[in-house]
Amino acid sequence: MKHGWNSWDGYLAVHEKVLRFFAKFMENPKPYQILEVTDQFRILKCENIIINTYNGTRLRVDIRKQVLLEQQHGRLMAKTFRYAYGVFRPNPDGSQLIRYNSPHDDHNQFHHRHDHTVNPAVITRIGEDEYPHVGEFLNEVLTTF
Amino acid sequence: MANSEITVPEFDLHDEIESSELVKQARELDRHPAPTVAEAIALAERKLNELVAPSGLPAKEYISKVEFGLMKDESFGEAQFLYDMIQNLRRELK
Repeated sequence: MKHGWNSWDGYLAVHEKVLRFFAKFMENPKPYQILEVTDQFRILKCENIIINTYNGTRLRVDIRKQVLLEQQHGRLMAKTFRYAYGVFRPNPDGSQLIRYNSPHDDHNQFHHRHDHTVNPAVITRIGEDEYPHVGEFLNEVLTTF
Repeated sequence: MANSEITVPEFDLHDEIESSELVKQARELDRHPAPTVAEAIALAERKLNELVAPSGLPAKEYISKVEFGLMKDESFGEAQFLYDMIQNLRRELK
């Protein structure tokens, strides 16, 4: 399974490592922030990352995850519950390019990818366990634009 | 650098956990009591309202317009993310 349960500590360490790995492409490398929502949920986010792609395109990337926490066999375990990864043209343009979203309650009730680089924009359905890891998303940004 | 996909190298998770600033940050958070679900909803709603306030639109309308490409998302996806989270938390309350 691609997106299963992991230890909370391992989940954080992997995310931190991946972000550090891609720091060389960032103008403003920054760490994730953890926000405590309730005792069962945390938000992990890193916003307004400015990335320079292989082609020299300057883009803004935002990563947000809502993480479900659960004690399993005496160990705190974590699993991504909701996520939103977006890539935008930096301000003042600020337009959306690609966005990955977990299912919404009232529309697009499935994992999906928005592609605003085409007109009209295209929404592609993604299998429940097939949405990209952050590293895969950053690879896509670096190689696509 | 080649214009191709790169692979994140494998690493020793134990060492990474021990040296992780993020893990330290999480442990620090755990020292304090977490908000209740009702408090979390109130906090998220306040943040969401702050984000959409400059548009003069209610949150749901703002999100719909962004979703259909009818306006620029000044929140860069955060409004939708918070809106989804609030719906989820409301279900927790029921």
